[in-house]
Amino acid sequence: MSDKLKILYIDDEPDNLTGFKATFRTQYRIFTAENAGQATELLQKNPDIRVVFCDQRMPGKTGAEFFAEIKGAFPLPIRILITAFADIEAVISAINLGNIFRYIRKPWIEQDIISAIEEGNKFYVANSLLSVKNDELQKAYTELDKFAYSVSHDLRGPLTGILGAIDVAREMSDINELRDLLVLMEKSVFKLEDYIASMHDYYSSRRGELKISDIDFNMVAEELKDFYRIYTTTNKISFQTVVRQPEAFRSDELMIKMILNNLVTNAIKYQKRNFENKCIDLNISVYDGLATFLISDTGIGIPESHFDEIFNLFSRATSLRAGSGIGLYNVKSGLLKLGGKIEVSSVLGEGTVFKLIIPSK
Amino acid sequence: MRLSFILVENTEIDLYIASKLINGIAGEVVVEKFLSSEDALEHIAFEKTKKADRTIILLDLMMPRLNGADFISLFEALPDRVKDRYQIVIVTSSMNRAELDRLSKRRNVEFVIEKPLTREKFKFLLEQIQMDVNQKEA
Repeated sequence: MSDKLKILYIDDEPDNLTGFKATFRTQYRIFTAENAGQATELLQKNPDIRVVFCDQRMPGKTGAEFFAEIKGAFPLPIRILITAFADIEAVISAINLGNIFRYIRKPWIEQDIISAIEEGNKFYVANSLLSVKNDELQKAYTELDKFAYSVSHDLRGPLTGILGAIDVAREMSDINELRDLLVLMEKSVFKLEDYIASMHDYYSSRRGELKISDIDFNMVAEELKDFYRIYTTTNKISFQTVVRQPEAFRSDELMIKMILNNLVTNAIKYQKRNFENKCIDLNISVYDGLATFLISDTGIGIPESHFDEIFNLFSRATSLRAGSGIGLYNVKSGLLKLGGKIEVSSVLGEGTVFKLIIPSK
Repeated sequence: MRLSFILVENTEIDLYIASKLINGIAGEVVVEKFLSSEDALEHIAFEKTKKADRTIILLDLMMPRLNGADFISLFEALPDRVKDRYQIVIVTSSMNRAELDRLSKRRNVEFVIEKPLTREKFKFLLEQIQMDVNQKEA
């Protein structure tokens, strides 16, 4: 069985190795080595070895020396020394140096070994969890730094814009000038509102639990079209949807809507100005438990050199349009949660196609 | 002395406010506006700027693609003959003190102004520039 814990035992006496293996082979997967060289080789080939036992008295190198040596290259496996009473000094120093987890007196009894493996394994699991948590924490800190930047840019920026406008407006007497200013102030307020909405998406796409249910993509597409009708009519954009769903599909509907909303908003926002035939096409097809979405637009396009970074937090590919650089990041982290993936292809000045594949749950 | 201004600011409202303030306070001066920092730099590098005794660049820091700090680095690499016509004034909503301190020490950066840009701040800026000019002439 492959899910048995992997244990390595090093001893220069072949009889001891055979005895150890015979005693524990039903409970654990046992690897044995007669010297340090063989042991290192086994550790290299089996990085998931959990616990290493080593005899203290071996020709050439003591067990304590061997452990001190491998600690750097193989920090994860739990190291346990097997030793006779006479070597107690070496044991104490090895423990104090942090080179061994505990020691077992020779001749060992079965119960001592089993308890050492169980305790060692608990320690191993706790350590691994800790390092996973550490990585997550590091990532969270990096994002927090980005937020600190974003607070002054995306929250404070529109506010200082409005404040400045109020200051200028005090001295204005021309009503038409004031109206122009109001339009700009309104834009700043919308920007703030957008930002707050995408912050909300950000948290739900990262922290929220998935709510899996049956999804009818015909309804989803109709809702999208209804929702964006005001924008598409006023901007003269033709928004077409085609749905082929011959089978049931299960996933988190809100998450999929968040993803589609972001992509459709982008498709509207990044249309070419003064272009006659503005289009957005959404094509959804479900086959063999996979939903494929194609969203294509006749927009300004994305330079190929930016394909890799557009999904990063606060990344912006153009200065021509308003945007916070969070939308596509939310799309990507939402997809990650659903087990889906996204591809982008684009021709500058002609348009962009996003292709998404999401598996049914 | 003939002053002129170059505004490098990717937010429409801030660009509008700055140009209103300049025309309201400094009077009829040339104001060249850029929503894209790359376009502004190209304009300066190819010496397309309208002739003036001194040109003030009002520079936003947080801009996509080419941000204000990178703009300054690229500006510094221009020949002295071109650079000497300009003074950079940073106008920002950034709260990153350390970065602002660092940038204010750059050779071509004269002032750092915290947004919002108001009449009061802009008047103060004009006075400072005038004082600076008088000193150099004396």
